[in-house]
Amino acid sequence: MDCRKFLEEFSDFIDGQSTIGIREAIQEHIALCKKCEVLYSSTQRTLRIVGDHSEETFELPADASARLYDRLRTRLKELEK
Amino acid sequence: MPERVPLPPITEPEAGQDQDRGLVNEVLAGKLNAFEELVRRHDRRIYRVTLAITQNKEDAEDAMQDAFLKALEHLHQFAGHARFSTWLTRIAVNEALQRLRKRGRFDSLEEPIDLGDSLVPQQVEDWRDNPEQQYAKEELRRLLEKAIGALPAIYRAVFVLRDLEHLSNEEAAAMLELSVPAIKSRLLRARLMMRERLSRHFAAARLGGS
Repeated sequence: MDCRKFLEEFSDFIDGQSTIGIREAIQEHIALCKKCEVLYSSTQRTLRIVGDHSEETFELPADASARLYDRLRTRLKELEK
Repeated sequence: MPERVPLPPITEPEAGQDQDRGLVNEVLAGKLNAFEELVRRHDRRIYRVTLAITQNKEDAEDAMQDAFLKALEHLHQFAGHARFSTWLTRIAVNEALQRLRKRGRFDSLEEPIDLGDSLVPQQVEDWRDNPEQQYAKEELRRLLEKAIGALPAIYRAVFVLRDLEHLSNEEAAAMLELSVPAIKSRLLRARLMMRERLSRHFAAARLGGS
């Protein structure tokens, strides 16, 4: 496996969706190629950091929340009539 | 013997249990107030999706409100083949994309992507150990929001659905009306761009340096 082929396959690899053959080829490649190993490990860490903080990313502000429930309750009252 | 990098876990397909089904049935049976509980369960997540896609607070709020009201109007059409949360997310994504298009910022979902050599980073910098721990939570949140916001819209939508909301390739493809290979190639680019951007903050010395 060369670096370009690695790059084509590594997103699936991160997701655990590679076939066993591809997984082994990737592992062999990153054991030998420092650049791809770093690319793999830092991308994996990128996704871990994004995942760990997903709850507080783009948080719903209190005023937007209040407006949502105002509109929703108005609509629910209309429908109940 | 070279040290082996641990294999990532195999992702299991989502179990069929839909925790929202009971509330959905209550609403359909005429207990309309149960819908408010459904909204409570998903409001933060739906806002996250609409804001991440639109990158505009006003649009995100409108898209969120309209998504919930549309879900209420069309709840009888929800067949239960998907989880309620997936069905709802799909409505919210549509609302968000419509607003993005209105502003002329998302004209081509179908833009061809060249997975050529340009994708291979010229320089790859290793990261410090647990670099995120050097940032206050609030600072890190801003940094992540900025990095996601800087992605081109066609990559951003895919990244948000896949890596922020943890939907499958198939679900993201259905929501964005793209093929699974198109989702995958956009996701790869988005992930590399995110890595690149975070590297500016988290990288240790340049590879090969001391």
